[in-house]
Amino acid sequence: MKLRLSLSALALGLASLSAQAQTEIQWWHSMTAVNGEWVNDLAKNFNASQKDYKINPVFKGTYDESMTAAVAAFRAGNAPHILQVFEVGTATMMSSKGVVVPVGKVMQDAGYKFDPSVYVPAVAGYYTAPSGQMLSFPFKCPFTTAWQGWTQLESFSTWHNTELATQGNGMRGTNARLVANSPLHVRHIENLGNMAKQGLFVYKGRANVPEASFVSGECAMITTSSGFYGNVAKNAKFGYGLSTLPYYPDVAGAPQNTVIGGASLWVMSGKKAEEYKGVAAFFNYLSNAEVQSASHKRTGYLPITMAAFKLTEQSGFYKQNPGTDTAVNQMIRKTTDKSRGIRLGNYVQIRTIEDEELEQVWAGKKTAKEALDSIIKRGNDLLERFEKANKG
Amino acid sequence: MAAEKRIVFRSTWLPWVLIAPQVLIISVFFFWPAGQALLQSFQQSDPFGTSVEWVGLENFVNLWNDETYLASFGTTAIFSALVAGLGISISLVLAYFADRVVRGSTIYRTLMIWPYAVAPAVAGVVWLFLFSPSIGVVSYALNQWGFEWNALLNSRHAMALVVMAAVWKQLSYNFLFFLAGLQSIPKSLIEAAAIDGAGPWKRFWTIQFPLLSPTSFFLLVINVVYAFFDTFGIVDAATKGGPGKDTAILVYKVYFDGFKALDLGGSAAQSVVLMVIVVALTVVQFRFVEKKVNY
Repeated sequence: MKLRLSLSALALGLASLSAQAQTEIQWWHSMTAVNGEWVNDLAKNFNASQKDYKINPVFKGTYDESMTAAVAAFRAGNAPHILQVFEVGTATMMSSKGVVVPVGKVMQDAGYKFDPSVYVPAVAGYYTAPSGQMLSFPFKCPFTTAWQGWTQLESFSTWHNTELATQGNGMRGTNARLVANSPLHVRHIENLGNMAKQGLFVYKGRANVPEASFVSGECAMITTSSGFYGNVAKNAKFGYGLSTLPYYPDVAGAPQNTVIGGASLWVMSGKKAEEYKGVAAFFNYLSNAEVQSASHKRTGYLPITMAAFKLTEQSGFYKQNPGTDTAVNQMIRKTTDKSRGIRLGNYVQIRTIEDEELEQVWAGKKTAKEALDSIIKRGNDLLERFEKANKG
Repeated sequence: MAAEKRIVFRSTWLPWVLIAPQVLIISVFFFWPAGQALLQSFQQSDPFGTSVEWVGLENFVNLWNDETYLASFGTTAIFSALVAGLGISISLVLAYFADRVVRGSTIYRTLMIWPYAVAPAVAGVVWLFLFSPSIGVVSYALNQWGFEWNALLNSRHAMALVVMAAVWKQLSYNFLFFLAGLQSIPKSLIEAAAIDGAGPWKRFWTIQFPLLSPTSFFLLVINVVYAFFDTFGIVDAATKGGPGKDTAILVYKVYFDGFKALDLGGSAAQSVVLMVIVVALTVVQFRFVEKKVNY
């Protein structure tokens, strides 16, 4: 009797063991509200599409919070498999050796064909190392945001085919230095400063805080991320139109392309081979043109493959929702060395410096030239330090 | 001062055993992290800690060369003086009146103690919602009355906002100590003064205030430490150190560089500097201010 009981207990144990044979993959992200639901649906649909792997999306707070959490988890030896990192953290992720596994390798090891050329040029270029190996999976790629440093300095530069920093905006190496005090930059910030004085431009805060003032109907126009589209489509109680960023037509080469922002998914090192297979299967699912197209329509974030763009076009979505192809059109042009992207070390601090100095212009405390000179001086100190710390 | 009473233990091990729990707690929660910070301040490493390099005093030299870091000493001095000064004086006034209330005093006191249970970041967000230029209730009212409130671009407004939030958060703590202090003053002293013809104002300044001086001194030390160390959550939630760097106090930069920008070496060096400042301030307070305290 006793023996039989323990046998059946063993059988029960075996049954639960086989149920756990499904490999679980942890995915830490920072998507909230409308976009958070989208991320959960992506995982749900992938989990329903096969039986071997289970993607478990976990919201870990804002971008900088989830990055901090991942750093702590990595040091403690229990990092997630997949981590969503905002574009500002790209240089940090790339220079931390042995922390991430290149996506190209993950895909090849699992037997998937991984062809970087199917991705939209400015997207793939940004996440590719000088050696040509694609380092992370370009996931959501909004092109402008309410973030002042991003739209008014960074995208502004590439849109006018002008360097923000030397060395192809830092894409070619860590010895890049900021050069954002050119006559063109001064002219633009001066114009905005004058508009601020006249009340034509009203400063509404850092990061994406200003977006609320557009949805509420307080501000008539906003330059921001295409990922804002889902929110507007759902919450705006008024008609709206979308268009490309304005440009100065007398500048040669303008308009070029805007620089991507937004986050990408990184695969963390030190996991089991079986788990990497699951990650590869999930990434393969995400690259699927139909999944991409559906995501693009739902959120406004860029589709990352040309196939997804064509599929969306064929479905008539752009005709029914005029302007939704703005982000794509701004991005799919052939990029130049000056517009491929911006990748700077200590980028988090540099973004904050941009915020701090631009605020001085909007408040009328500094002229455009003074503020831009100060951004360059303070930013270059940080770039020099980053170069020194990562010379190896 | 009276002669010190000394208790002599005959056993050699008993005193050590008795202080052991306290020593253990201080070691785990203070000496260990402080030692780590000291160690890290001489290192530079990438966020994930895969490469660590000893750099000597370089982190400190970088701080010294950073003009904005030096400027934030001034910001911190103004902020701390305002928070400690306003926090102590307002809570003293509130405690004085709460002490005189006879009916429903428990309700008043409970309400006064409430804010202490609120986390700093939540306090920051509450005040931000009240005073945000776009959506804030108070800023809407201020603009209606013709006062142009804009904490996003006006440094004075931003500073006022973080000081208000920080003071509000600490008010209950101060209030509690002042109230206890006031209640421990013998009623007979005050009644005697009243019979001698001293009005409430005179009674307060000549009897209650001097007798509260140990409490006030204690609160001064605590509030300065609070303003220096515990306010980064409020600053982060309310202003993010802006506009420009006008509300970026020292501890906020420690938090930002360490936890947002992941520059652990630089952040550790700053916390060492901050630790030295607070230790020095506390020594000064005990040396000079304490002389004026009557126990």
